[in-house]
Amino acid sequence: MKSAAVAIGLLSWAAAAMAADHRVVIDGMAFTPKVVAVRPGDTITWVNKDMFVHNVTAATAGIKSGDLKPGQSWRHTVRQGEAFDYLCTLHPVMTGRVEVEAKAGTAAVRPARPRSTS
Amino acid sequence: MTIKKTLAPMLIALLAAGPLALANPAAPNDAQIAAIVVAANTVDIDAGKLAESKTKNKEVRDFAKRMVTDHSGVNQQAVALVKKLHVTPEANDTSKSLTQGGESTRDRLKGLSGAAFDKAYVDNEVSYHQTVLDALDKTLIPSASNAELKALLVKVRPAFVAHLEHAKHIQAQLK
Repeated sequence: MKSAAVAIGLLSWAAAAMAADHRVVIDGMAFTPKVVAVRPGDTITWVNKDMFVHNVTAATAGIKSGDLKPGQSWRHTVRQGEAFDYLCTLHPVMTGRVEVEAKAGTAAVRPARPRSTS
Repeated sequence: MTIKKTLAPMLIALLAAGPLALANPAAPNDAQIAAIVVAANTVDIDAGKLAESKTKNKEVRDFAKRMVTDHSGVNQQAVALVKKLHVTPEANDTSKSLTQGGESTRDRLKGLSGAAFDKAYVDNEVSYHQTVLDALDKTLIPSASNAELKALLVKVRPAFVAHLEHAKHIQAQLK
């Protein structure tokens, strides 16, 4: 029983260790990259480098960053099956998408891959 | 009289000078560009404030509020930059025409209400952003000699594009 718990703990640690950090830059009234491919457990950080306030919102997925002033950022950890389209509700022409590639367990045993950055 | 009708002749004159901007004495200098930028943003801020107070349409109100916020932000940046550069905005025919055109448009909008107001306001926003975008591309950005001023104009350009697309979207919905 104890060894099973240790194994689960190790797997969880391994999954966390393999999780990737992605960065989406908000600038020039656009999200870059527009589409980011992640795996469950990965984190995405949106960084507002624009001179205007923006937000990251996917109402149906319950995702709301709130207002991000210039220079502010917002971090979100992606859960399994959470692919979603999002937009800046202040500037609705600004849209993006998060694609979820595989299950968390799969991600934990796959080799590390490059970060998805702009 | 719409913004397009009032601004177009003057901006067309600006655009005509585009390719020859650096050599043409009619091309605006940096001090004049600063005044044009501030005047152009102020026109849209004032129109936005009027729309916020008059419209009953949530989407139009949200858009107007966004115009006030974004264009105020651009003006703050522009004023901060010219202060840093020790440039005093120089009023010129273009900036004066922008201001006068904005006043005429607001006077006309004040006489409208309901759906007629919403349509007139949004129609003007489409024309205004397209006209200023053209001026940015063909005259203001090419004519700016200071690198920081030029960079600011380039930086704000996407906002005019986004605002234009947003306004067109609302315009289509109002039809």
